[in-house]
Amino acid sequence: MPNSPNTIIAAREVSVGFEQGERRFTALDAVSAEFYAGEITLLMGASGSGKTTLLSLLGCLRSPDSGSIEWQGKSLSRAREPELMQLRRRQIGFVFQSFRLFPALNALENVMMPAQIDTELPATRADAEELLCAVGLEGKGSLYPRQMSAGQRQRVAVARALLKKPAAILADEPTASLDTASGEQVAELLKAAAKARGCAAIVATHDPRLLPLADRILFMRDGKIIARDEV
Amino acid sequence: MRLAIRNIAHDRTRFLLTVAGIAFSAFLMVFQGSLLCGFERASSRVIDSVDADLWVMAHGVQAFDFAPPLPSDYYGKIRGVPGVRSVRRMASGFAFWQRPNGSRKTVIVIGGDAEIGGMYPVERENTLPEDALVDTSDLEALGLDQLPAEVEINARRRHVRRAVAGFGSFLGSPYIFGRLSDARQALGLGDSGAMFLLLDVAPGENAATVRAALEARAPELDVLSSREFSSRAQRYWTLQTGAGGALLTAAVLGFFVGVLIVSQTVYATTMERLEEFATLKALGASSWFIVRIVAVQALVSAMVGSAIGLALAFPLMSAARHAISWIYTPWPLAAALAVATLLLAALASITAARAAISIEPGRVFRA
Repeated sequence: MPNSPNTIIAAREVSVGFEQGERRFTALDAVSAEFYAGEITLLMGASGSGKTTLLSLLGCLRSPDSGSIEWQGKSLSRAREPELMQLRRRQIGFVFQSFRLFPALNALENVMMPAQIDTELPATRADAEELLCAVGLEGKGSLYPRQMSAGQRQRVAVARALLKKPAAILADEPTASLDTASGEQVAELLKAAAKARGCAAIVATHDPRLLPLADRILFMRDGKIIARDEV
Repeated sequence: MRLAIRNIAHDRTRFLLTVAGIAFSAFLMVFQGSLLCGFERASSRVIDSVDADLWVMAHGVQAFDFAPPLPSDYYGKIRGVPGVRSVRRMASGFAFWQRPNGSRKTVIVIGGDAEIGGMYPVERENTLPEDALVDTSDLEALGLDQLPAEVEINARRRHVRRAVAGFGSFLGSPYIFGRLSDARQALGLGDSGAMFLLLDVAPGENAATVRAALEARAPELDVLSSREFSSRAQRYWTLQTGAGGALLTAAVLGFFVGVLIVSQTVYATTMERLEEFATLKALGASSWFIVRIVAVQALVSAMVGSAIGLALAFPLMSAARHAISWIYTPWPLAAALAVATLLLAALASITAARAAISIEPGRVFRA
């Protein structure tokens, strides 16, 4: 399947299985999908449908048993860990259900963490402060995660993901731990990241509040994409 | 390495527990090591205090405390060996000390010719006939509330006018120093008995040549340098007696317990942060980035812990010296154990870092 010029990531017939005792479970079964710059794609489905496994493959956090992942047209089939690490470091922003902020660092330092990891990242403290403003946390940079609400923490996580100006944002249940208002704020931020910054935003979710934001929805069941909905 | 330092500052309870574990390990290792070093030093204390090139004694004598008397004609024989400048005699043996209250205690009586030299505590000008010198730490055990005092050793009256320091009993039988004639009398050696002959080699003579000549002249005796006799006595007490074996075992166990505590503490601290390391890997952190965080946290904890452990060890050992007068901490032991603690922490951090860097980054998606 040829890439569209806007394709950031593509999954080509990817399959993943897990051994559990003597049984083998298929988490993903020959899944193919493309994800485009400036679009929000929702991965929806019940628990165990393969959303998170697909997200792990797209985020270069694991490799498929068969098939391949392509990043901006380049297959990662033969890529080794250092190359995948560079992709994660430079190109991918992650947002997690449990935020995964560093409790010993304040909000500003958490946002700056990608620049600590990648000293060549052209990101300054001013950029981090600007991002905190953009997610509605102006003046909150000195707060520590324990001093913030769940919604505020998730917005810090979004700001951290955006600092490196990623080509893609991968979010796993980003609103699952949030109340309605906070969930909507985070959803709007992801939408803004995709539209204003041109990211491919891929969101694994059960949350129907995110449906109106989506450009496309992939419905998954038993490791397969069972339906595709262009919104 | 901001994250490493901030983690330490943030989780103070964990840091304090880590530091406490390492401090205890450092203290334990230093204390047990000091007991062993003190025991070794005490077991050769008299030998080391004497200024002599060579010691001559009956064949097979293992320690200063257990030596049979030499036949009296050896004194003349040995003096006549070419290259020998001077020969001094020393007598020692067990005797009964009668406390002022009438009860008895076993002691080791030591007497030598004048001018034994070195750090040996008896000097002709300040030790009168029938004087007995005791160590300060043994005064209570000998029933001496105050000095001067009159006592009896093997039914011979002796005067204790002063006490000396650094010759505390480690056997439980205090050393009693005095003149050679007094020791002979107390030990029933006659007018010419001695257990040891202490030799000085004449200037310009080769000690090895003189020693060979001595061994040829008296092959039935042992001729040892001071260092050799000291080592022999230390080996005997440490390896061939129950007390030494127990101390050696305790020191070795103390070291391994310390190793385990440091390793376990550093490892557990790292394991508690595995999820953070998984997040760092997902964000693109290299293995080296993670290793540095683990190592900095471990080394800072180890430095603070070992400093506290050593700082506590010295005053506590000073207090313990009231009960164990011979305990001794050579500074190289303290320095070596401080370095060992840092190395152990570094080693443990490498082991822990292996777990940290091998963590699967994909687990970040599990809530």
